[in-house]
Amino acid sequence: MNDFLERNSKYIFLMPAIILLIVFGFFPIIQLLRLSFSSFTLYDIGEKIDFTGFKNVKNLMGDKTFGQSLKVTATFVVGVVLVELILGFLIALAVYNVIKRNSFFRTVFVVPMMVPAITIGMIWRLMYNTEFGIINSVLRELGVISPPLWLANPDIALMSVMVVDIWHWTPFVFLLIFAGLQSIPEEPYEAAALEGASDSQTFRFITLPLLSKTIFITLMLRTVLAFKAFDELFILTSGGPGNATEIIGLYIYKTAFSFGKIGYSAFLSLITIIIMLIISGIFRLIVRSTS
Amino acid sequence: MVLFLTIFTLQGFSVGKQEAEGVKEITIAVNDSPWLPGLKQLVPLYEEETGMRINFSIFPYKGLYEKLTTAIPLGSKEWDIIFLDDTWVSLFYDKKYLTPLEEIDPNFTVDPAIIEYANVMRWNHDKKYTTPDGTLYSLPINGNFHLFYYREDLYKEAGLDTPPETWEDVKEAAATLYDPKKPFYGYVLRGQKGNAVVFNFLPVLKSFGGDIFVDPPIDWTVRISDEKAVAALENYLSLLQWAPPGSGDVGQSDMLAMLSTGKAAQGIVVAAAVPWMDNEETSTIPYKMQYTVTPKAKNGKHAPLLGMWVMGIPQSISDERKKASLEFMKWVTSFESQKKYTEFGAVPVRSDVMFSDLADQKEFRFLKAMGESYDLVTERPRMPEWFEIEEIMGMNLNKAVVGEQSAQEALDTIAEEVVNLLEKAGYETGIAE
Repeated sequence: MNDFLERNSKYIFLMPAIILLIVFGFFPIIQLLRLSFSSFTLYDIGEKIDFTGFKNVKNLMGDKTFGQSLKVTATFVVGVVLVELILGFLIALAVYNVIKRNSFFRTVFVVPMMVPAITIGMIWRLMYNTEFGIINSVLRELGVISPPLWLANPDIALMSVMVVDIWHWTPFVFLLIFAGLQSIPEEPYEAAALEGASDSQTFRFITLPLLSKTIFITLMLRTVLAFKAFDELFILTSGGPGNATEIIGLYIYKTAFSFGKIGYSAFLSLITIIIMLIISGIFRLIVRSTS
Repeated sequence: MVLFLTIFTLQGFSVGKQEAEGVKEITIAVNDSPWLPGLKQLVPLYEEETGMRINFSIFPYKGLYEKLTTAIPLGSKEWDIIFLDDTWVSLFYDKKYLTPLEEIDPNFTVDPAIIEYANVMRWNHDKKYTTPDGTLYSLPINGNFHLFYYREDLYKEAGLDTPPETWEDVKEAAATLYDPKKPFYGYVLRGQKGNAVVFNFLPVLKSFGGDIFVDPPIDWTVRISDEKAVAALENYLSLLQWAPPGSGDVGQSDMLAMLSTGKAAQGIVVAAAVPWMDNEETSTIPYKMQYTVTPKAKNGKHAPLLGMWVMGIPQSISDERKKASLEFMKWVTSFESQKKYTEFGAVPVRSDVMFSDLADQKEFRFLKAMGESYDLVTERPRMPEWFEIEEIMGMNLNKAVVGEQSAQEALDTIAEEVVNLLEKAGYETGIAE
């Protein structure tokens, strides 16, 4: 017995973690797959999950709202990720080179990331309020007679919610890029200085190539996270006006809990997971090729 | 894992122990609503009288729905009483997740002073709808419905007749009182996508003699795009000229803020929001707001919409807990309790409270309007597909409010999509000519 325990001690110590992984990892995935191929609704809770084959695939083909939410999501993701990358990169460079890695500024820039998403949604909704919000109040003081309807105008509502996401997640990009900058050794810079390279040449031929892996990993992480955005938009607009800001997460939530279509919403979640796996797969290939 | 299992077992043990020793406490699942403070002030009186302890499990509105729809069907014993929005009742009644009250006490009858609210307490399992002869599953706990809030002082200053009866009266006042320079808005409407705009538009629709269906549950023909509905929506959209810009994003809290800070003259709002108007912490115009029945079209009818709550007893709990819960429900709907409940800032569910001496007090002047409205109330369709219908309506009405669609386009789209939805769900339906 002691012999058995000694020989298999590593498996025995790993067992609790494996059990937790199965219970909280695989089991929900199996349930998701079962529900995805069913027409289970809130009315059916407590009953068996029926298998309806590819009925949900047929439903998806005729679902114009999902197509529209996919378009809105794509616009949202591309917009926020690009801006966050540029801003986060610039801030990281500034803190690294100009402010000389001052820990106070590093902490200040990271604060938005620490605020819960629900709180951010509520605060920005108040700020964007047409009548009482601080943004329009300031604009009126500056002489703007008809300040924008930030969340009520379908032409600018999506941009308004993107601003909130950019405010929230740029610090994340900043942190990753800053860590990447810190990991670059000094020697290439010293060699470049000896060769008489200018700042822009140093940036183009040393900093960027050595940072490329970090940039692509950051892009991948932010893209996947942006795809899953929900909390802030739920509070800010609930997908309105019309469906101008109805991203996939909101549509899936509505399908599950407003319409009660648990099976179909599980299927939409599965489609979303597949899309995110494809995106992250592409990024991983790029990262491998840059290595 | 061991700790988790230990806690789980101990909790189950304590519930079983409580039942063995007799019921000493009741737990109620409730949403975090404006009237909850009123109920919380009331229950200590019951605790004093009976020695029973009342606990509240409080959730946000959507969170409560999610909790109840996932836990109750699985036989949760966590709550003794659950509160339900009147649009949720069809699921809980039809699937028999609640205990018929006459099963707990065969001699129980509903006090005639308790308002029926379009039969919300009763479910007919054959017709799958709330009907007067249905099984009694709940009692009302919050008798919320629409009133028309208007600045009586400004009306009188401008020489306008009060109270406004018709939409023509309202529009005349809106045009007279509107001052874009201040700005002061002649009307405020709740045009935000989803439940907000649907809830705000339906009393207008019905006041024109329009409706979503011809005669539920007998005739599910969709009539939302007929000429009465178009006239109603055009009337609703015409109010935008005197309303704040960005009405397409105005929710309930925005609307209340506009009215209570003296920035808007009038609007359709629920009775439960009355305390906001007189509370000096939330209002710059205390005691200036007046209340009346929601307006009607010239040849239409007053049609305030219900937005109320009922309380029911889950099937899964023990008989002792059911009896204790029913006793509490009877107590809380008695005349004395309801009078105190109203004094604590909530909305009564009894007509005798509306006609009591409370109505003569300045703080409770809204009771007169409630007394004139309660037997005119209308309901949203009590069917499982309602949320999807509300989503369709909410999307398209919002598009009309923000100018993306005309009234006819919005209503035609709604009619088509609702018919598609109901046909897939097996209803006999079509679009009315």
